[in-house]
Amino acid sequence: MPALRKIVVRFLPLLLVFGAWEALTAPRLIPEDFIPRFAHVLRALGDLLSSAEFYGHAAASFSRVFIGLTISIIAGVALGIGMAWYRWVKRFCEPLVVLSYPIPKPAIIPVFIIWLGIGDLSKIAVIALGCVVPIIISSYNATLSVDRYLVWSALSKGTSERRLLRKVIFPASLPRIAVAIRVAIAVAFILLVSSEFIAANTGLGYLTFSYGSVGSNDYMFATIFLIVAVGFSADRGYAAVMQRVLAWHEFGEL
Amino acid sequence: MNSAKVEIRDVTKAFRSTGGSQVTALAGISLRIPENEFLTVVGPSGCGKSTLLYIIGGFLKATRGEVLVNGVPVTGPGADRGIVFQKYSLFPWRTVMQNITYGLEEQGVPRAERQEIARSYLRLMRLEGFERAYPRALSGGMQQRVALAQTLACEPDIILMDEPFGALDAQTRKLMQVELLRLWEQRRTTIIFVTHDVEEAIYLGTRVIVMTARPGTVKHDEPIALNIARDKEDYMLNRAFMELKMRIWLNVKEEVERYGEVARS
Amino acid sequence: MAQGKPRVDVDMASGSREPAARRWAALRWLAAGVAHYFSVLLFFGLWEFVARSGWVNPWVFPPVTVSLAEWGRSLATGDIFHPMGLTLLRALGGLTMALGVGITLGLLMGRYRLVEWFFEPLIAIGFPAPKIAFLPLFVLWFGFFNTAKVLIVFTSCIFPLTLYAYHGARSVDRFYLWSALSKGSRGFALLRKVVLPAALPHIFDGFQVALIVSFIVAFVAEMVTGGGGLGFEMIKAAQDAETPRAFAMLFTISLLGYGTIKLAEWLRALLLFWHIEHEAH
Repeated sequence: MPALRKIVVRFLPLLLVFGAWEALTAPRLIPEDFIPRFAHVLRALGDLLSSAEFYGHAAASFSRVFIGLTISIIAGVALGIGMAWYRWVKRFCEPLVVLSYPIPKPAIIPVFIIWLGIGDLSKIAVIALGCVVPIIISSYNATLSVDRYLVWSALSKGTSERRLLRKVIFPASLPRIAVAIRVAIAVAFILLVSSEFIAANTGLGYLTFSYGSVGSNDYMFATIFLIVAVGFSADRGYAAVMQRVLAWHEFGEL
Repeated sequence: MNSAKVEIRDVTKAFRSTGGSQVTALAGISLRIPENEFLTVVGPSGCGKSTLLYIIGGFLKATRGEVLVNGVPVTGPGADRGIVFQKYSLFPWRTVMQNITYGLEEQGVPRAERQEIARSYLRLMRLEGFERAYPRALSGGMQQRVALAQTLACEPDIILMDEPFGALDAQTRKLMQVELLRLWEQRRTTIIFVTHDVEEAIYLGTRVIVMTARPGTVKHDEPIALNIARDKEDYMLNRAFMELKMRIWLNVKEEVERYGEVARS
Repeated sequence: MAQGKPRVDVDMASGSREPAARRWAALRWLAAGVAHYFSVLLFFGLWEFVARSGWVNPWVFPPVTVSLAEWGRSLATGDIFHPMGLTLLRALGGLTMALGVGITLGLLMGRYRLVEWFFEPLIAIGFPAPKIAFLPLFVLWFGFFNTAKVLIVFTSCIFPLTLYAYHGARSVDRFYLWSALSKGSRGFALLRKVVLPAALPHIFDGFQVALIVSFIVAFVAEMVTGGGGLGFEMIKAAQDAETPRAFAMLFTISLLGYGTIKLAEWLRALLLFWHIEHEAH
């Protein structure tokens, strides 16, 4: 079982941290209302994972990220490639992109709350808008930097200008677009949690704060762990899928 | 001699350099390339030999003059002129097999038929067993063999080659040259081959052209009529070959030195 | 990004010409600028038009000119500088701490197997995770004021800084190391004189990420937990139905964002000139 051993050795530090936590909190060296016992956090975790209420909040958060990201990916890739391909799209979009690039994305949360309320719509809009800019920029740059010899090679084998986009430009830009989407996933989770912290009545961010405000620290810890775990798994899941889809290319581990 | 496969008529190419000044890359080149010729073009780097190839390919437009292929002026790239570059000719997201079938796919050849055609070129280029590999897993020499198969599969009238073996190591290059020659002797497709390697030019070509330093024109034009078997290993040691090589090299050397002066001034 | 600049060569060439020609050139320059920023002008124009048309509630959607006037007022009276200072302090305070700890840790991880073994899984899990989720914890531990905010900024910035420094240290060309070892460098000196400078381009990538993260996190923390600063002021303005003031805060924080991005680029060019020269070969 060398594989299992490798995993254990790799994640032993994590167990050590948790072990130290339990060792310090079990004999009440640290007061329970400051840091709850690790065992209690685990118990809360089990409770959460077997309660329907938790899954309701998780579904709310998940659908916000999913819809917001989908919109930003479709719009971002289309606009980025469009900007590189059509002069008028570039002339229209570039100043807007340049202008919105330096806006720290969570700063649009209050504006969207004013416009769209505290429900799903404002969160989806924040995620969609916050993630679209980096995807536009990467798709644009990726499309422009496609090697001209690849384009020529296709043209000399009978590919028409119109088909060029689908046959060469898009696949050649895909690795860089894929990296931008990975960044966008991380940004989406930050925006989700931030906007649910600021104003919401459903979602995992809201759940965390509501446990905190009634002093259920073990449940608050457990919810935070779950958010971290979901964010981490989304990143790794995406990377694993991309490694298969882009098997012809080396998809970076960072 | 009315049936030139490719006719280059007074082609001039000028472009603006990054500094903003006008640069003349080619100055009034005229050439007739008959069918079945294997033309090699040598010259110092930066003499515009690749530019000429790209104009024939239809990727770049001549500032003045025109190129006729089978008597018809070139207006853009087309499947009648296949091209192999030094690098990046292959689509990295396609397997070896998919790369070879690319052109056939674009010309609407049915799936079963294009598989069959591709398989014959796969055999011809000795690539069996690598059908499903992606280009990045192949060596440079293998990649160029796939690129050649990809171009040949389109059955082009003319093959343009832009220093195709320039990035390979010396041994692989030698083997690829032998292979290309074998291929040409079977099919006699018209080839225009750009290189900076004099020996390669003489070994492969039925006619060698030496270009001047920028602005590029034809300096020397010589048919290669060596009556010896080129598949023999001692070919390079043949006296006639060595004399020819010396003559061509002196022509190139003069231009390399002159280009150095041009670059310094 | 390649940005088409309005053409100015016409204007420069006309230095000795008639005033009429110069006016004409200036006009053309202006026209080019309007054409270039057409979409931005259209965007703001549409905003202004819709806001003034009476179709929407001005509380929800104030005209852009009103927001800009409010921004100008807060800049002129100086009442924006106190919250701006607070946000800057929190962002840069947390970032500075994270720089020291993160770079050191990353370099050590790159050089010492034991350090790498212990921290690598923690960093690998923490890097892609949304650290902002820990915010309620920091409030629980450190209250609503500067400490909690500086520490959440620190926590968020430490992951990119450590990870990039670690990758930088690991990708140091072994010939540099061999060369230094053969000249007698050991331990800390090796780390400081060879590993650090060689890893600097990577470290700078991490710094650029962390710089943006620090502002975002400070801002979010202020929005969520209050305690002054631009984020708090923006949320308060939104809650008090002073939407123009909320927009003025948005403009300010965007300007800060722009400033930090430019600052990072400038610093990079300043510190890594040798690296760019190195790459050019």
